[in-house]
Amino acid sequence: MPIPDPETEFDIALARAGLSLPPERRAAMFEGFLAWRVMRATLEEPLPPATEPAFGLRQKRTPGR
Amino acid sequence: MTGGPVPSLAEASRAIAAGSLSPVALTEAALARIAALDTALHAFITVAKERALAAARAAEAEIRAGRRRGPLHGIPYALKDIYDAAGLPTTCHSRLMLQTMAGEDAETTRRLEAAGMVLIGKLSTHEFARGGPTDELPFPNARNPWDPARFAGGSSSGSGVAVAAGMVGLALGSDTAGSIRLPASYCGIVGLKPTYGRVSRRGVFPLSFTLDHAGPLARTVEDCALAMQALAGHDPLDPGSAEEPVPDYLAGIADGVAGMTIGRARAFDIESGVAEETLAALDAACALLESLGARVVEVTLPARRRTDAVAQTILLAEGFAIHAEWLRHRAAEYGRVTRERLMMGAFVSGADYVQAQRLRRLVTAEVDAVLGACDAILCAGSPAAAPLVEEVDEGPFRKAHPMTSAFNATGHPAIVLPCGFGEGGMPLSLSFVGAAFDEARLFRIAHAYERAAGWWERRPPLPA
Repeated sequence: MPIPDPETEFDIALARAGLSLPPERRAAMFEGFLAWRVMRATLEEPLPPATEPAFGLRQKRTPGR
Repeated sequence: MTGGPVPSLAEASRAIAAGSLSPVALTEAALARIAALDTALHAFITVAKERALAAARAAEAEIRAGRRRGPLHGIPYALKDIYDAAGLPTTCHSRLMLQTMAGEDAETTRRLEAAGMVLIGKLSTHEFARGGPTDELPFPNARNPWDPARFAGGSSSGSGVAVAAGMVGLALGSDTAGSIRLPASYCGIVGLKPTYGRVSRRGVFPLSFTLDHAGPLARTVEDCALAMQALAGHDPLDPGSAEEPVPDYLAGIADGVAGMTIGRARAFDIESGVAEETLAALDAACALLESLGARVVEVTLPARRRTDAVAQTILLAEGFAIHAEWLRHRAAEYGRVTRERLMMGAFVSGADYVQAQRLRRLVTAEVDAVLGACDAILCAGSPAAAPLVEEVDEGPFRKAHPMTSAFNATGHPAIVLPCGFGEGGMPLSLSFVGAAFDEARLFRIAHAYERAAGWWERRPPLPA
């Protein structure tokens, strides 16, 4: 399946979430969405599969001090 | 007491202990200060005058009967209006919450009440701790007491304004990306984001479960330490609360910084676009710390693009999870800025969120490693002095994200305090960031700097 273009991805995400935008705010939200896509690329840092998200809801004491 | 600013927590505490200040007189002075200034500054949403006076009279009677509960007994405080206080509305500064009434206290409120403090009211915030300073809301937005045309910081804007204007000695705020530290920075006071899990968030309306921190804003570092002595501790009913012992935060606060190592995160500041005048103030702070016997070394923090991606992805996803139903069915009741920023969470996938949490663990370990070799990290509290309100970015997704959010991502404690004044006489600020659960060391370092630098003594240009 082809990767949707950004505008299609934008519309699909809003529709799936059940959200609607006033027409006059669509351009500003789409600009925000494009900026978020740029940021999202940073998350694609290569990580070994074993790097798990176990930040844990409980912070741990900083080791070594 | 006159109509001037109320004393700091420590000053009030000493005066009450000595019998030279009564809780009723102090509470009346705070109410008079609010009445005189708040029509212009809009720090308060609710002023609980009768409740405060009744609590002050009860505190005074207890103290006179020899039953003083501790150093905070009889001193007024105020809450950001996302904290619950039984019998008062929690509006979150939103039309969506106008009909709410808290049935019980937040755990933090309960702790301050148990310490004998006097709740004087509920404070302005950005809507749901997420919107911006020009959103059209049911209550006006707080104004910076140094210059009403400038941003007071957010989202704990009323908390910063009320303390800076001398209406209260202590206000509680919440910090998901910098919302305690930025108002403290822009209003020229002290704000602490404690370690994640150190202070309960139960009864505080959430924005982002794994980034939210509750904490104090006050005039001095000592005042923050006094407040933290009452606020810190395990709450089994807050899933994020940590079971870590609470030390005596005041025991070593005056021990100085001789022999300590401070890690100067210059590259982090430069990457964050910190202004020249703030960089110069930070250099001066380093020189002062060295003159007090500390060693200052350069340290490298994770790149801002990584900490921003972690913090923003988690904030978007968790905030959307909380507000999704209302965004679908009551969207028009939000202010425009709040609504659009919350809606941005619709674009975050499950994989994005998990990837952000994985990366979060790595950047936290990287900051831990830096703190393994120094006692605290020193960086700017904000990139510059408060901008003009009309210059604040109120788009759905900011072009520049708060540098403070790096330590919401990692959970490390961070304290902000004044480090000078810039062009136009607006406060500049620095931040010390410490090891997890080592707020005591942060207080010691920040207190040494504060007393030597003396910036804390300056007050906004308001009636004396």
